[in-house]
Amino acid sequence: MSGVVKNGRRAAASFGPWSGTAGVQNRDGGLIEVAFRADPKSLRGVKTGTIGGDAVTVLKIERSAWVAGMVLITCEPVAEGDQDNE
Amino acid sequence: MGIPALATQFPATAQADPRDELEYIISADGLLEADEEIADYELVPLAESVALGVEIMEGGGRDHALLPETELDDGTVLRANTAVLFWLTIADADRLVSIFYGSSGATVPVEVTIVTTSVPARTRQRTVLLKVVQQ
Repeated sequence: MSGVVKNGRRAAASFGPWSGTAGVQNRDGGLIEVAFRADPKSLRGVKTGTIGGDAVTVLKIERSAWVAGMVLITCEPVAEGDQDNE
Repeated sequence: MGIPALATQFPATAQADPRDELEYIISADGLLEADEEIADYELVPLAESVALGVEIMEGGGRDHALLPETELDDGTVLRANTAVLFWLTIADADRLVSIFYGSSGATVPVEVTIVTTSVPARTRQRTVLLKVVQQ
C-alpha cells in the first residue's frame, strides 16, 4: 500500500496585467492550474502567460470555487516549437 | 491504537489558525464495501491552497499514512486501511495574510483520491475543506 502527496509549488507568474507569486499545481493530462488573488474580470481576453519564466497557453479563467477573491487559471505549456516561432 | 488528542476529522468542526500544525484524518469508510480497503491514495492541495501556503507535511514524525484500526476521540472505530492521516501546515510567510482575518477566514481545499482493494479496483475522489481563521 502506498500514498502520494503532490504539494504543488509557488512560482513567479504573469497573466495579462497581473504578475506576482502564484500557487501552481500540475494536473492530469499535462494541464497546470494556477491560483492567485485577483478579479477574473481583470484578466478577460488573456490568452497566454508565464509560470516560472515558462510560457503557457491559457485554456480557462474562472473564479475559484473554494477561496473567495481568488482566480483559478487552467493552462498548458507552450510547445517548444511554438515558442521558437514567436 | 489511540490517536493524538489533536487529530480532527474532516470536515473539521473547529477552525484552524494559520499557525496550527495539526494532523487530520480522512475516513473513506462510507465509500467502501464491507471488506474493501484503501490500496493507494493521493493527497493534492489544490492550486488555491498552494497559493495560500498550504502544505502537507512529511518527515519528523509527520508523515502521511494509512491508519490501522483506530478508535477516534468520539468512540468511532475506523477499520484498518480505510482512513488516511496527514499533517497540514501553512508556510510561515503566509500565516499573517489578510485573507485569514475576519470571521470567515479562508476555506482551503485538499483533493483526496483513493484506489481500493476491490477487483477491479475502484477509484474515488473527494475534495475536503479546512476552514482557516486567524484566532
